[in-house]
Amino acid sequence: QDASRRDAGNRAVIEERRQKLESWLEWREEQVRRIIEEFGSIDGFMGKDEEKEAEDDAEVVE
Amino acid sequence: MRPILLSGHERALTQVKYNKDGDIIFSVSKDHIVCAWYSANGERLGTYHGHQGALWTVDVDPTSTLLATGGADNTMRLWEVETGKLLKTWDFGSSIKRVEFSPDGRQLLGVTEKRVGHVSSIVVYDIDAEKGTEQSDEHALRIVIDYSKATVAGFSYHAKYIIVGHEDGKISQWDGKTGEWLNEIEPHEADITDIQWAPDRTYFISASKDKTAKLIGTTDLEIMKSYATDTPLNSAAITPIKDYVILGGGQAAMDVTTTSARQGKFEARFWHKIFEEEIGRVRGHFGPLNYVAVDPTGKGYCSGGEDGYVRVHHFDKTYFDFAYEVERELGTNGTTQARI
Repeated sequence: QDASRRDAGNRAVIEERRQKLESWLEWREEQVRRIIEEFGSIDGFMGKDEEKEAEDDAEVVE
Repeated sequence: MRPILLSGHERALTQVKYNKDGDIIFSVSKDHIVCAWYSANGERLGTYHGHQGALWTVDVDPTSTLLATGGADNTMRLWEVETGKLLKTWDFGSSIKRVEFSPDGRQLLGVTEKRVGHVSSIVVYDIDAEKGTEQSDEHALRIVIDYSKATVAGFSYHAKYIIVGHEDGKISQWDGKTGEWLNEIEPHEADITDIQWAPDRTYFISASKDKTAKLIGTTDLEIMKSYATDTPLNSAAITPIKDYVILGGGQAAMDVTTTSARQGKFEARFWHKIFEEEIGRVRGHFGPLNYVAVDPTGKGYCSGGEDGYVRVHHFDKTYFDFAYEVERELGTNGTTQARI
């Protein structure tokens, strides 16, 4: 019974995260659409290349 | 994630800032000195001397050509990054609590302190980055804050808005060109201590002495997310690449009976930006964290403490690899900033 309650709790947490992530993505898309409509561009986006580069360069400095 | 300790200051740090490329860190302190450091190895590149009082704020333009500072000597100053040459001094009747360049570097904003005979205000100057050009004495814009004083301020995307944080917990929105008041919210119950932007400035994070940080949309001032902690916050930053925020603060020594690091809660706190869940803490400082800054390229972060140290952290591979199950399922892998 405890395990089943725990599983249900975990599912609820995961579902809440899913909803938060989906609504965040929706909000972001709308913001970006509005700004591009007004200004034609938006600064500060990190493209996939820069993202990959940052990951590759990551290292622990002793 | 082993830190590098930068120990060039003799008094409390007040602000730390990365340049756009993330290779240089600028730090200001109550010791009147501005320092520049290589973020990769912590080597000190140079110092900028001239201020006659505690420094409260620093910012560097997007091309790393110009540096702006402000402090308790009632001046806002512009420096040449490479040579350390002082290019311009603007004098005011009170302290400069915050400076910030516009996203294109063509304007510089300053927040002036409220003092007897002086109202709190936001001043904006047009900046010419051309070498040898004389900067204007006249401000392009001045917003008088005649109610709760401004503590922090900054430019939104395309400098469309100026967003101001106030002493009473309010955040106001002003037209970046005309200075007209547009909107106001009250997301906090105490001083707003910091406002920092998302990379594209469509939203920002506010930190407050009320122990919370809030993620707020720039256009509508909609409160998107809330992060509640158990300690007064001095600073909050949004990490690029990964969907995290970093919060810094701690109980000031005069507010606690003992000043042990554990009681003071002098930790950088990592929260998941979207899920609003705390995911980790980084210890190290022996006093409150007065400022946290993230490397704009996403490779690390640094914090400036009341203890006089800057601690620089480089994220390791696990930081980039980690993602929640739903993040993997929806294909974001914890990187929604880069996705859209």
